[in-house]
Amino acid sequence: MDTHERVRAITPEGVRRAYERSLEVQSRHGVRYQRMWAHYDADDHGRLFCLSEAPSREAVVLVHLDAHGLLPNEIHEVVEAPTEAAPLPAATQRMVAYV
Amino acid sequence: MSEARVTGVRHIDLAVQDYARQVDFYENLWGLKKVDYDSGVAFFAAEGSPEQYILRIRESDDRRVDLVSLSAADRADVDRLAEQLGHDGVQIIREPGELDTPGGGYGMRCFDPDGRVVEISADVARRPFRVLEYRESIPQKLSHVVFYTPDPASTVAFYRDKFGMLVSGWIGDHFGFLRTSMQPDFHILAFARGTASYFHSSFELRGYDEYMRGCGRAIQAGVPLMWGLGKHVPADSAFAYFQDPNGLVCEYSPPQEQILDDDVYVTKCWSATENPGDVWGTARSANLPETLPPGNKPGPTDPGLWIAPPV
Repeated sequence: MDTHERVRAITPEGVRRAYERSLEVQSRHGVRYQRMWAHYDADDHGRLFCLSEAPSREAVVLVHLDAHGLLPNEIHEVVEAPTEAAPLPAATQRMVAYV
Repeated sequence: MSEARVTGVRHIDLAVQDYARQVDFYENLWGLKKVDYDSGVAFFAAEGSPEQYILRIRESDDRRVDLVSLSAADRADVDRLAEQLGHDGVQIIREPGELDTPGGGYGMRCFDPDGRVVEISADVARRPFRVLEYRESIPQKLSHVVFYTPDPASTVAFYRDKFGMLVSGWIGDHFGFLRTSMQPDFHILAFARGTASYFHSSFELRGYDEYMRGCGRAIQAGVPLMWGLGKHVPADSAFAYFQDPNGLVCEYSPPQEQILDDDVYVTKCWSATENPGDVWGTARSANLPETLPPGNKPGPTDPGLWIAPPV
């Protein structure tokens, strides 16, 4: 997941163009983009969030450089978190019980 | 066919008298990586950047700017830019050809209206790089280069019209900021009014924590802090202007704001009285007698203007 902070002039059209350019160049670096999210900020300091499958963080940087030059502030390897309630580990259950 | 344009900034090349101390400073304190050197010339990369090098230091009797290097998309664009520039009467110093600097590639050189040497290159091989880790306070790229010019309006217009750069903002009519569509940081080049000379280069750290750590390292080492730590309105980014061993200003900064959609972005304009240079009010003490921070004073005219560097 790569994130962009403080991006000015975020528009749906601009986001779409950037995403399409990423799709065009991603195979050069073994990257596969999944989805992209945008936060449109009232003060014109928006944020972008891009989810991709990539062999490395450096490969993600290279796709950004080749596609549009808008470099991410952070790139993190993420795993999908469980979205359904699961039993808490025993130690955690004891802590919860004492709170 | 679309108009050829530059795509970004690659490196700043400086010549200094005290070469040994300059090399030691940028390698061992500032956090750059010396990737190549020859007798009296050293090339420095940023660990976090695929650019072959972002700074070149050359030993010289004169302290001067050798050149600022910009990138183009491909060889054809270098050729087209050279042709357009020649047609417009811009003095070409080196016709397009193969480069023999690290990473090779294809490039040309010309003078800008003040006599600065501008190199434009394409096809330069990328170097292995790595994404910097949290708390790693070394530069991840060259952020921007700033010069003084006697006539900011015409100099900015030259870079806009001849190189296809985009104007991000102005402070009054004395400080103009330029970006490109493929390096959409608020500014990668800027020009402030003054005698034609070098102002500073800024080296980007990965975030605010790393910026503070880098500044702390420099302060604790006794590097003169000329202005900062503070934050500008233009670029929405923090700054700290230090002085390197040869008296040149070098800046640490975290990432700038970036501009996504060039079609809707409107050039920002601040009045000269808005004090957009010190958002936090931390950059300098009100008790200082100087009206200008010591890091913001134009120096003498650069002796390298209208003279091609030997390398």
